[in-house]
Amino acid sequence: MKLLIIEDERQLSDSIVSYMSHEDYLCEQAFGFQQAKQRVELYEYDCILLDLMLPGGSGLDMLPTIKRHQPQAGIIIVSAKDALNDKIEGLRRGADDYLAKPFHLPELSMRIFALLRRKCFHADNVIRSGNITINLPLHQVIAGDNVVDLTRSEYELLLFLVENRHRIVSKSAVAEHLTGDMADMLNDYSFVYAHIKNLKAKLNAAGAKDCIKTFYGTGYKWNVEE
Amino acid sequence: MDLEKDIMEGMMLQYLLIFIVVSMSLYITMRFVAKRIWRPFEDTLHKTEEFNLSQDEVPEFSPTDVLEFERLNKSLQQMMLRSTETYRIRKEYTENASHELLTPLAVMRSKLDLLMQEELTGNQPALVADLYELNTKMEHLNRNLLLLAKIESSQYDVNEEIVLYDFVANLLPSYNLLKNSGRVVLQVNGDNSATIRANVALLECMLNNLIANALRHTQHDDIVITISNGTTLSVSNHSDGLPLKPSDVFRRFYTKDNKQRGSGLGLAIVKAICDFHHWNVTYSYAESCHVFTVAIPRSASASA
Repeated sequence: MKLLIIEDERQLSDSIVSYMSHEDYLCEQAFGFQQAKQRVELYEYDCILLDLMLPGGSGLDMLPTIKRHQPQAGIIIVSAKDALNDKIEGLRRGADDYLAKPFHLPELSMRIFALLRRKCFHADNVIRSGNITINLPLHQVIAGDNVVDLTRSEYELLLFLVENRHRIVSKSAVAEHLTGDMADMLNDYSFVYAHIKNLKAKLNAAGAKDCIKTFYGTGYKWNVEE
Repeated sequence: MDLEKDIMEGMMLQYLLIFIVVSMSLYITMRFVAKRIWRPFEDTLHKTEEFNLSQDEVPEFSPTDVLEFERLNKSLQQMMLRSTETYRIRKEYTENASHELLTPLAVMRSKLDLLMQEELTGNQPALVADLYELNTKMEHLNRNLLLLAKIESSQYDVNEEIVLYDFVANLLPSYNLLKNSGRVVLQVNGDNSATIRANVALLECMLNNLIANALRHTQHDDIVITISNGTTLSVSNHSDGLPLKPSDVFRRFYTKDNKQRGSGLGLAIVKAICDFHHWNVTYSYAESCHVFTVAIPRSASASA
């Protein structure tokens, strides 16, 4: 899968490339309006990350160009958190998803996965890991032969961990994924710990043992060997 | 003699008549003529009383022939223009500063996300965790400052009509997600179908902040949201602590103790959102409960 990251802040762009470059993702970068335009016109991409806060032209103006040259690509626009107008206008002009800055890398990778799944018509609607199967359209989780009964947020949490399976995700990233904007106003993320505990217990009971590893103080990781 | 008497009477009558006529003329003059002369001054006075720095509008004073009033109008107008401009620049500055901070904070967050993936030993995990937490705090503070600046410079509009009860009921499950023990409950007094006009995003933000604030001060007890008469919203939580000071509670960075700190701006944001909508928000303490009440008027079209 080819990714184009249009972001003028070089360090941020490099971090994204570093995080996403595993499995089968090839990342390319563009740091300005002109450079982005050239790349979009010359090459083919599966997913494009577009920072609307670009120098040399508003990212929004890039959207028609992208839609014209890369109709197959999924587009995720990035902008400052309260820029509601950007979000509305961007989605109206054909972007597929919107992410607010600053964002967690695990959150970004989840959005990219979700977008690529939507875009691929012959997509796998099922995610497998170890003896666990997640049926996406049905929101159903099966461990071995047992159906695991999860609440909505436990399901979202499981998906978040599995899709970031090679990485440790921070408590903060989980909190923001589960509660969105509300996370900004909380100074206590202990509810994350409670959710992880519940999820672990349910998975254990269904026969999927030790799937989630806790890294004390830093975060959690999906710990299933493929 | 009779003639003297007649003359006396005649003169008295005349004096009386003159007195009446003069009084009436004086009265008429005072009432109408003087009023007309002072009208521009009244106008200026009225507009000055109504002037609000945060509204960004400098009043136009009506031109007048009276030199002194014209001078007064000119200097008042200049003064108002200057203060409005200063105020606007200050607000822009806060907004721009927050905006500039976004990128370094985003870069820092991404690097911390990467650092976490490394093999960390000894003290390192704890140090990384601390850095992470600090970065998160900075982001929250920055984001809240930006939000406050935007609300105060009226970059939003009141554009939707919703049923308050339904709106709050929809948010309830997400609030209960955050409570480890005890619940967030919604109570209704009176009808629950009333509609209000609001900017929905800001309304949600306001409610989020009220709940976050309650969560910070409650461990195991319930948080109760009450809707009275369809449109008065209150959030209350039990507390073992002392009552807060009503006059200070909505000020930025006010905390009664340094232990449970949020970004310190949560309630200031609630106040700003209420001010924006012209709603009245009050704090009260009753039966060991902190209660925040927002009085929202019904929207005019609700006729049921």
